[in-house]
Amino acid sequence: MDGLASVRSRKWRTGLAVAMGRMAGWVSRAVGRGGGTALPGLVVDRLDPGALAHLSRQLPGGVVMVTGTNGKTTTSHLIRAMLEASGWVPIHNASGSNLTRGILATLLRHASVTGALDVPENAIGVFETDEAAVPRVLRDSRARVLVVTNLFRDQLDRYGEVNAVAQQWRDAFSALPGSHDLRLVLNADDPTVSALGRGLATTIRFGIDDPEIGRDAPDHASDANLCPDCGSRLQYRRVTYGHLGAYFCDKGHIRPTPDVVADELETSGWDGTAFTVKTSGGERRISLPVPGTYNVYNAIAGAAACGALGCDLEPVASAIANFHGVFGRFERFTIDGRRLVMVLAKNPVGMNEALRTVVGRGGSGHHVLVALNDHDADGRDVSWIWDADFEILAGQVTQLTISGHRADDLAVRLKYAGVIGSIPSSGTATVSGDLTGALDGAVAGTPVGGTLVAIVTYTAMLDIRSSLVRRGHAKAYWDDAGVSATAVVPR
Amino acid sequence: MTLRSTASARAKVRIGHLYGDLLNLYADRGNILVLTRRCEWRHIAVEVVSIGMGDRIGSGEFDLLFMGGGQDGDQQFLGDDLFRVKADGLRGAVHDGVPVLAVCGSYQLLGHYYDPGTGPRLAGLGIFDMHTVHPGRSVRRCIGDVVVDWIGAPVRSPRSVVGFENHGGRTFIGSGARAFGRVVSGNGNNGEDGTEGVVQANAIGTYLHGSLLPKNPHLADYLIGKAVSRRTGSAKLEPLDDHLEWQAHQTILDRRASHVAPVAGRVKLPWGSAR
Repeated sequence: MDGLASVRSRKWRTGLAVAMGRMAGWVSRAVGRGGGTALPGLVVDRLDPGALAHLSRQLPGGVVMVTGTNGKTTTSHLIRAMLEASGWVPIHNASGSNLTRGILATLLRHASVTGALDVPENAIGVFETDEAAVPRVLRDSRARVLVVTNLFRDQLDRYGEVNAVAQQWRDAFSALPGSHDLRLVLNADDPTVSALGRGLATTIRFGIDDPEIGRDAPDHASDANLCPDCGSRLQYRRVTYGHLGAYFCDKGHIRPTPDVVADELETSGWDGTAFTVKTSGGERRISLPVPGTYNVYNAIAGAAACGALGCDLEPVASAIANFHGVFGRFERFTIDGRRLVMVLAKNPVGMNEALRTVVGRGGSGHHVLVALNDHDADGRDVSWIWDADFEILAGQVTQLTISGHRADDLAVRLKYAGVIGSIPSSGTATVSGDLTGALDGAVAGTPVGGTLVAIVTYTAMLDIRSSLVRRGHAKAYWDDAGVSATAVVPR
Repeated sequence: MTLRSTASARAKVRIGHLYGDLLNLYADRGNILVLTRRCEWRHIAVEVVSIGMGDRIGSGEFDLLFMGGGQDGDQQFLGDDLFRVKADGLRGAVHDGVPVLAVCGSYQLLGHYYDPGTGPRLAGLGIFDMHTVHPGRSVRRCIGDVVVDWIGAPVRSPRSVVGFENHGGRTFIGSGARAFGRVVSGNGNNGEDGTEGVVQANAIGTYLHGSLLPKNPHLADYLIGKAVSRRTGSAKLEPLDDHLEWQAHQTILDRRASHVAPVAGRVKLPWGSAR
């Protein structure tokens, strides 16, 4: 469909598409089909494929893109907060709707029916971007900065293997016109990601340097077995998580020295991690109030991106210290006197880190709900649960609730992991495909004052959230339309 | 190194996992885990040996061999080792009747050749009488749930096998080759001739992952039975409580009928049943 191609004026073509996209958004909200975070964008993209370029290139501060397997949403929210603290007005697809249509829908909220973008002169785009959408969004938006958090196996049925994703991006980089001044902000600790910057002068890398953090060997299912420079086997002096760490190969290729470093990490359970960030612009000791080593990576990815945009370290550090997470990622709720902590986990590495964070709090006798869905947004292939280390939970759980559309697969996995068999006779294990019922049962089975941890895939997270919204325990994430998506969440 | 001992119930069943650190793309670990746990639950001593680069497969050394799938680059990386170091041992093992399971990428590697469509043919080991052709990137990959009718299923065993496929290449088996299964739903080898996988002696090649064995306990026990009988001469396996496994199996059969994810009833697990 190229419905408006006959409208010859560039701005009127986009303007007309904007008007029709808006209408689609109203209809979507009016009939209760969600917040219209994607549909208006889809309509506009179909009517005017040039709209993304036309609108995004009007952003006075240009565009920062954030992509990678894990941490896209959190990192883009961090960058938004950092930029706000530095005096910018970020235009951000905060809901995590990260295909071209979601980014367009965000721009539409600021577009007029003449195709003009009505934003202040210190406005800047912060676009969380799906891995597969990177080539198109990069080309159209002429982004100044592209942040790549990491690359792990994820939804193989949709993206293909890790090396194929990286190759698509390299092709996209080499197709950019010479006038496009792009700075890559790359994870130095991920061999595949770091190698994206080979031969490019304008690359900034971030990494964790603390020798006390991590393990000796990569996770079971490593996606970076071979040296990106010479193809020989990679080895590690230290692994922070997954296949991230201080790697080297026999031929003398080593992980590049990062420009932005996190060191001296100190974790304190659900309350987060303190670390020292070191940049060419100075050092700061920061307490990041969300847990997990991977959130330290997200924080320094954001700091490196803002460094590339010329921001000072002071406001960047204060934004990190005041960051309270993103919906569904260690999001905390109070339900009938119990604490519910919801943790999104959608691939093996993410699941391993979620499980380690649960168990790392110490003690045993945890109350845990795990839910596995297999909609497109979760990945239709649920094989990945066999690559995740559910064995970590064995002997640690007294109440286990297994749910989601693929609860049966998950139950088999947890049986073979020795988790179901390790539950004491005073405990319970429940398998139920009905997620809302399972959640209610799990909450009721958690003692008042106790904590229930729900580790869930993407659409299961949305389902649980909407059930909590209906009952007044949480606020819908699209209520913000530009304000922080998390500030309104009760704790 | 040969461990073949006289028939003794105490001898360990040895499972060889080929290139376990490189060929592990589609949760192949799940298959190994199911094989070992189901031996352990029956008090059958079992050990898994990783067969990496440079390691040879000695005659009689293994009672069961498993190979998974990998990224293209990783598969090319091991190609040379597969031909120079592994080929003879692997061929000998199949000839000796050792049960072998080769999934997805390694299934392709064990055929006559793989034609990528964009360059020269890559030779395979030719253990399986089949070849694979990639029809080009513009042709849709075969992705989704698969149900097959297992042609060689033992008498009184259920015949359905369920799994997930994700492959671009189309595989065609030779006129004399036996397919592993007939496709009930999904694509299988090529989406055209209704075949899935291939069987040569006790070696099975298949596109099914998911992982394959957790939801197909009858297939897992078939392979274990073959392995145990090589050690002890007897293939009688003690039955296990597999109600969770069969429920997951049934879910896939039901989805095929309705294309809607069934919502399981609330099931309380009785203690000790799931081990």
